[in-house]
Amino acid sequence: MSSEKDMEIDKGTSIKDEFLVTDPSAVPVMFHNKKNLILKLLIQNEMTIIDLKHKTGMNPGTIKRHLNDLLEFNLIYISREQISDYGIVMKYYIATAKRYKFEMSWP
Amino acid sequence: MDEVKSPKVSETQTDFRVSWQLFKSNYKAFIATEIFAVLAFIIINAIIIGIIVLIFYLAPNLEVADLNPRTASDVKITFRMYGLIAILAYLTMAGFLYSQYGLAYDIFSSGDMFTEFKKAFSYFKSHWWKYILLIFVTGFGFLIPVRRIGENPPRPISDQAEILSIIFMVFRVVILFVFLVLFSATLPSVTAQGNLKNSFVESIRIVKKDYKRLLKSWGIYFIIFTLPIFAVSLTLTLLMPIITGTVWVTILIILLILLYAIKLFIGFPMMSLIATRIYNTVNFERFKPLVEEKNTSKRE
Repeated sequence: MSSEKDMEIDKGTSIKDEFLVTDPSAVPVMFHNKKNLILKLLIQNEMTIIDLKHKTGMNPGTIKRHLNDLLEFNLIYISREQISDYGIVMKYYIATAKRYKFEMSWP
Repeated sequence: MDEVKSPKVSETQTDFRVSWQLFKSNYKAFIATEIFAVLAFIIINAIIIGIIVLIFYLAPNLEVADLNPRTASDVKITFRMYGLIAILAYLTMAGFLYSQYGLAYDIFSSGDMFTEFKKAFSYFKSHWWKYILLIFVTGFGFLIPVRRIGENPPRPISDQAEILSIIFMVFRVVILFVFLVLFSATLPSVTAQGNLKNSFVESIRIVKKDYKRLLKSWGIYFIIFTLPIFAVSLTLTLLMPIITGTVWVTILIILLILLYAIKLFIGFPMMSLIATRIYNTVNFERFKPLVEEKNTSKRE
């Protein structure tokens, strides 16, 4: 059993200076226009989907899908989950690093 | 100097204010779910009626009034089958409407604070039989506190059977409210932790913990969304012998349909949001949540 307090998860809001991208399939994800915009915003500050909706004007469902793609390649992470005074669980997203560096070879 | 204090906002007020705000920002998903459920119900019924009509068309010897015992029995079976399928269609529709609790869960508990219409299907797929079973305890089955309208000729209200039917109507409304207070949390609970039995345990724990809030919140909800339906229905029942054949019957029936539409398109989403908020904010001993977040935080 878990109590309400268990839901308040703080995963830390620290952001690295640099993140090394080694997976070639992460490149199109990073340079996709909308995902890139979201990533830039998340480098500046941690945000919820609703914050991102206000900043970008995008549909929350679309934002959620972009965030899932960014999460898949560890380009962002969920910094914390917090329950608001109104009883709503809010998930905050933040970029993994301030700068992304690419290191890959092909084939 | 006197300190200026802002008036204390009760949890009930917050229940309604927050639920209304969230309904307004997610109304498309909720309304689409309701329209889909109602359309599916109508289409299923239309298909069944179409099949019955086709049977009668292909077998013209088959008549309802046929005195031949064999064919009369066929007709009875056909109509019984229709009744059975119509009930199943009704239960499915109601079960699908209950997947709105999944949408409310998305808004309140998923962390994303929004929902989409397509999520109703995934919640219905995961919990359909539990939602359908919960119809019988959470009130959807008692939703219609209406006697059959337009009985012809109308019986006088002094008739003992008529008085009994009115008492029964009142009894159903009271039972509906009691069940709503006792078991309203079963739906958000079953959505959150998945187990039907545990949902009853959690619901009773919430009642024990904060029954005053439940009585207030569901009392107000009842006054807004259920009692007007009951009042119009009762008026129609009582006045039927006097107003039969006048325009008042039509007016009251239109009013009743309007009140049902309000209940369906606003009342149900509000109910799911209020129930989920109460479930989330009352501090009680919970069972382990069922849904684990797929996209867990990954940090190097």
